[in-house]
Amino acid sequence: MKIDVKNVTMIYSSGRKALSDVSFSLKSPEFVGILGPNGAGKSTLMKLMTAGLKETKGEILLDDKKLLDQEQKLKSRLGYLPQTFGLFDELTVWQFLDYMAALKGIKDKAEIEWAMEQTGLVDRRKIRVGNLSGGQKQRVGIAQAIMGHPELMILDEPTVGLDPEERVRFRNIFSEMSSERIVFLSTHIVDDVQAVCNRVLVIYGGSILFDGSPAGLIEQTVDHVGSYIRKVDDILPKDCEIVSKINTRNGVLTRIVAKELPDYVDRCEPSLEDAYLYCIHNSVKREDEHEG
Amino acid sequence: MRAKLMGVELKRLLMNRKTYLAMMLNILMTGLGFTAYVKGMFTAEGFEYTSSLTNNVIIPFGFGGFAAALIWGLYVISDADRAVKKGAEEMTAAYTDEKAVSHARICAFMTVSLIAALICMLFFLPLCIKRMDYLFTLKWYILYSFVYILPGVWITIAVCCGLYNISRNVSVSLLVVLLLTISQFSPLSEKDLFLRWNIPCIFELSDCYGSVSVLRFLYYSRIALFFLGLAFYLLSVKFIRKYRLGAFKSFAVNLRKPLAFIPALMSLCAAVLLFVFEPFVDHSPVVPYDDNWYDAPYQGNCKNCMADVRFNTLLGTIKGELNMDLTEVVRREILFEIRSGIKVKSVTLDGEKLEHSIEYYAEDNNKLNLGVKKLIVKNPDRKTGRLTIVYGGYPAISNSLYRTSGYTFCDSVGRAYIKLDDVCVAPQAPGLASVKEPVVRINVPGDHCPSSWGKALKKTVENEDGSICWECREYVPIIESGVNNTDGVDGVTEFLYAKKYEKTVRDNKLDESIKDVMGYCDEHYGELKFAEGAEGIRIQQISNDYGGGGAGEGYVYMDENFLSPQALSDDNKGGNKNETFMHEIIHLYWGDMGCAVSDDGLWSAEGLDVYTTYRIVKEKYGELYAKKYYVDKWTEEVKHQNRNFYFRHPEYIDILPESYQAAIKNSVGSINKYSRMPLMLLKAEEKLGGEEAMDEVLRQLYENGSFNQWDGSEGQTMQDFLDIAGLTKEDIEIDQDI
Repeated sequence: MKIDVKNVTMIYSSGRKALSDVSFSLKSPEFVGILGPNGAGKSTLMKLMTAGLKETKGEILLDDKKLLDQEQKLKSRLGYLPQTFGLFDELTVWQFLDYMAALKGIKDKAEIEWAMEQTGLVDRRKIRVGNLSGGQKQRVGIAQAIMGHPELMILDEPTVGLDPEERVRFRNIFSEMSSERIVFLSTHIVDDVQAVCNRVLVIYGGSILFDGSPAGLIEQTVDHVGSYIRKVDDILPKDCEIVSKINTRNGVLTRIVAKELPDYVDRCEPSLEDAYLYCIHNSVKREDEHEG
Repeated sequence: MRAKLMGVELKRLLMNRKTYLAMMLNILMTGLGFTAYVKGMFTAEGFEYTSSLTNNVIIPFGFGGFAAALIWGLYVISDADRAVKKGAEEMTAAYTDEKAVSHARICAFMTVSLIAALICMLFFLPLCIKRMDYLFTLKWYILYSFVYILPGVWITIAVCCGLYNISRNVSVSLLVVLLLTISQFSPLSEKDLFLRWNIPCIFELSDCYGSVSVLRFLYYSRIALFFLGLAFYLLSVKFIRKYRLGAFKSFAVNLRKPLAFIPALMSLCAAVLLFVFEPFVDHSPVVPYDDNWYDAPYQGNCKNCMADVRFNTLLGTIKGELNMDLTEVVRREILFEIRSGIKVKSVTLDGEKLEHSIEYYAEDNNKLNLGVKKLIVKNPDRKTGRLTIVYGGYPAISNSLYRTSGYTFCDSVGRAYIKLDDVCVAPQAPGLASVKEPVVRINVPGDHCPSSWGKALKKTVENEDGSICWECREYVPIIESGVNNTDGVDGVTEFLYAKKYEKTVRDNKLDESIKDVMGYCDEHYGELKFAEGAEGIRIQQISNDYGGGGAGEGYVYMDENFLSPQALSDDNKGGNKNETFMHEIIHLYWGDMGCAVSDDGLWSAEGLDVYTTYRIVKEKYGELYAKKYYVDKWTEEVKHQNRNFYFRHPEYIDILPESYQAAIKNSVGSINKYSRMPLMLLKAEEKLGGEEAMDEVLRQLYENGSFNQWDGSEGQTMQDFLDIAGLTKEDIEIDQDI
């Protein structure tokens, strides 16, 4: 399976531009994480890829044919978890998954059982969805997405509301599944992407800032990450982004990313989070310069 | 996959508590239909529904069906909106076509409402069996309760789903559906079933004969409206939002697949065809009646006129062949009159096909309004020949009658009952002078007992299909034929009634009542006026479809209500069923002599009837019995009335709410008719010096009375009575005695 997003621009009827000339390709098997701040265009991109929206410009191809011309083909191969979703509260977990299985055209009940096993819902099968906790509902959402082993899984912040242990478990499940399919994951949690994705897209302001491996993103940040002990009256170095602040006896241990680090800042080995922030920081700076 | 989708959607609905709430409300509202309050809503128009089927099935299920339509409509809108608002739709739309989900939803709702209707039917079945007793027929119960409770619900579900698909707004959808619902109460749609899309009209229907013509029309109109609703829904699906676009942009996207519009167009075509070709109502223009009747010019003579008519009692159609020998024909066009809806298959003269056409009766407003059409046969300048007309079809009700009274009093062909008007039976030729009276052969089911103008027909042949051919020799036959019992009351009087009443008639000796009444009245007042000269008297119970009662020469007909359990239990009219029925038979005398009814109800045929019943039972069972069950009861009623505050102070009635005013006035009128007036007559009897003198006064009153109560004469008034008796109003005043 192959998806090509070519020069896609999306402008909503309100006039808001959500995506601007976005291009990238996905080819099975692949686990792609998409990182970006709120409002960057991640969810819009995902909706476009699930035929929930129609691009204003450009095109999306599924196996070299227009995606919107073959919606049925896409729908039959898709596993999708939207960022926010509602479930039918009156149904039990099993009934809800059975309902979704019917929508997805899955005939084999074993698929429902498998999805429940993977998401730890087996003992919750007879409980009404309305009586589940937020995390459990999220698991039901994940279960419906992975059910039927779809060829394309689009997951919009799937681990929101899950505890760390569950989060790790699920990202490992997605990772395992990515060996035979495309998994396109949107998240705010950089660690998740670092842990499992073999490719990362960084999106900001509707544009792709980076498309490559996590290591490649980190590579770009070497010599741009550092830390120093900051006293109360110290002025923050110019054009930097603070990654973290830790209070110590000598002052605040401040980790920053910047295009040019001052001499008094000790260079550090960058993490993916540093790299992501540096990427966004640079983009913001460029925008400011452009506006200036 | 779609079936599977519908299955899970159904399962989803069945897991929802709201579904069970809707089902319970459906049952509850139907139950409310059994209450007097709801019945009052449907009787406010001035109809008094007394048929058991109407009381126990039509009104409750009609009301329940209307309420259910709104309940399920509201539910379907809220359910569709919930999927959108809660975000479930985004997930479901990723996997399947939104239209498929909408289709699954509507099918699931229709299935659940069907289940609710079936539960409702089963739930009220024991109650209806108990209340309808011997008048209960499972077939009619199922057919009527089903048509009243379900199709309106399905149409509403389709309309509501469609409205939500288009508007995506609960408030707008609800507002439109409520406006459409309210529009059915407008005068325009009050009687027109085709404009009543979720409220069927309430009909007074037959307990014994099933009112199949009404039933067919009900089903037909529901099916036509369902196709229309379905077409609207299928079209609305094209407005389902695509790519988060607005309604019209989404529609434009869907326009790219024109083949997908075929189901909507097919449904629309089906609805349009059903509307255009509906056979029930004649669509000639409604024009004012006038005093001028068109006299067809003389066209020639005919003899050996014979029509043979057969029926398809399932479809309600007739098929006939009219043969006649034409002589001395003087015109190139021969005019026949034919009921609208009846088609002419062929017209031949000595085997040669003749041109013919059917047209509106533009020359005669009255016939136009009666649903009579002109059949014009082109005569190829021949003076003689054997003319054959083959005709058939479904007799249509006249447009003017339909507009004023709805689908009632129509001709009807059914398994248990056949009623056909003159031009329905065979084409009539007003311009041809018949040398000899025609013969009309009517082939009705074997268990029928037919009559024409109330007269018995001559049984001729038993056909191979089990039907029996009866012969009538009438220029203008009017056929009434039903599955009836025939009792010969005596050598002169015959009593025909529906099979269902067999036990009631036997147990209560109702046939004897006829004998008692006719014996007494003939002796005391004189012979039944309209039967003078007739060979015998036939008292025939007819279907409620035609309502009321009437009389012809030697023929009395009365609708089913005269034998209904309510009518026979009306203790105003007699001490038991036998005596109540006597009361109805006495109406043949006092009702038919044109007794004028006074506004206060102090003078009416009812009072004379009750007094006569009292006299008959006094003669039959003795003075004690008559005093206990009649005089004492009247006295109590009048005493009770005199104690009533509003009776003594009528000036206060006007400040009461209208419904209370009506109830008090009804009660006052009823007591005046059934108790006060008989007491006044009793007082007159006393003043006159006894029963013999009173009988002489009543005999004279009867003699002075008009033959026909519908001939426009005022009828005998209280003053006429007083004048004959030589009494004054004060003489018969009873209040001081009481």
